[in-house]
Amino acid sequence: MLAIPIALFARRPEYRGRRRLMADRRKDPMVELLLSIANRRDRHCFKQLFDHYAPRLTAYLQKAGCSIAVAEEVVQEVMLTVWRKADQYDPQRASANTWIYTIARNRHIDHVRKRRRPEPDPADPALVSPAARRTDDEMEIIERGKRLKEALGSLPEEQAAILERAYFQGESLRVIAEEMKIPLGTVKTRVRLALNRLRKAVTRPEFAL
Amino acid sequence: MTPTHHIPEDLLLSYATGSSEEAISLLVAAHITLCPQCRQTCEHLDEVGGTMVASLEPAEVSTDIMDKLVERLDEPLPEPAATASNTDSTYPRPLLSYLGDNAQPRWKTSAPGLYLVRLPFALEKQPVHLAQIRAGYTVPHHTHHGFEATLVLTGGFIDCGEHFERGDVAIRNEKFRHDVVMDSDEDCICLIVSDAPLIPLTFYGRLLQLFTPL
Repeated sequence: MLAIPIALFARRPEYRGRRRLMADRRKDPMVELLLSIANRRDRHCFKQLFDHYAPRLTAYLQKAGCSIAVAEEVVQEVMLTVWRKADQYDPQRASANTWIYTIARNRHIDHVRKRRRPEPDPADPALVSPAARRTDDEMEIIERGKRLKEALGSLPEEQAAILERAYFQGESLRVIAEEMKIPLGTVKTRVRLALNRLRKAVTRPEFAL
Repeated sequence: MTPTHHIPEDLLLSYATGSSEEAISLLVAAHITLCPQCRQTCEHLDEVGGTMVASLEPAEVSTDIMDKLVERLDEPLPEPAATASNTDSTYPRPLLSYLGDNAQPRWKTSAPGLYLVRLPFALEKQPVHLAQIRAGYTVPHHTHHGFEATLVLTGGFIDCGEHFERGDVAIRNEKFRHDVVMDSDEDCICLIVSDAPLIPLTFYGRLLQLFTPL
């Protein structure tokens, strides 16, 4: 008789854990906005998306060395591209954060660095598909984003500093080594350690790629 | 068959963050077309960037940007840039726009059995060639002044005891003194990005260099 309450008690934390996971499995509001723009050309949603991303993209571009005027111009171009290409956004491939970041990066390279950056084309007949296609659903992508954010927040300062220079200032590892006055080998090691940690964060068994 | 010789992660990172030269970006784009593993790594690196930017402290945005933007939402879409399309899959699509109008390389004979095309680049710091090398050919013993990356598109070769075939990338520098033996069943076409001309170490190699600008 006693075994039943104990068993119930023992199960409770797991049960609670599952409830919490369910609660976390909300939709990403940014994805919803993008889909409304794609489906209905909804200007109100676009305004909300703009209010969320424009300040972050401006921060990114200013960190990348853009003047306020240039940052504003690039942000406008990025958001216009988002408006026009929203129908190409696939929530099963990337989060809204990632998709909009890649547009901003590309506009920045184009506009400020005046450099071409060839990219693979998903419709290329030469494209080789993975043996086992990973099946992402939208929720998994949101979860991965959260884990990635946590993992980024817990990186040792010396590793985080290098990633910030690489992503925000767009510096090559060679330049980072010169600027930080540390050997290139050390920079590469720190990058490897950081990326291994981030990869681990998104490839925990339940979120396996 | 997926590639077994990959692009090192630090080069993928410089591609993802936009710091790599156009030549290296082209090599990466062509490789990740053929290599799902490195393509997935690049997607992950973009995810890292997206998460980092989303976590930034929001900056101030002047209020008239949205007003200006609203005026532009109804602008007609710009003509989509003509995208090269390929019917045969020898050349990954990112390469096509560098090959000229009919998207086929105009080979120039450099030496018997060796044909080259130099691809046009706005930035000429790192010359990029397509090379077609006759099946069974041996590139004589040589070394490099700097960095050289070779992506195999057709055929294959053996270099330093390892076999490279379609999609594989061989990265070499001054530490390597080697000769390269092409597979005997098919001509080898590869994309080569280099910092500096190669240095032949044999008399025959030096003789060949008179013909070859590689």
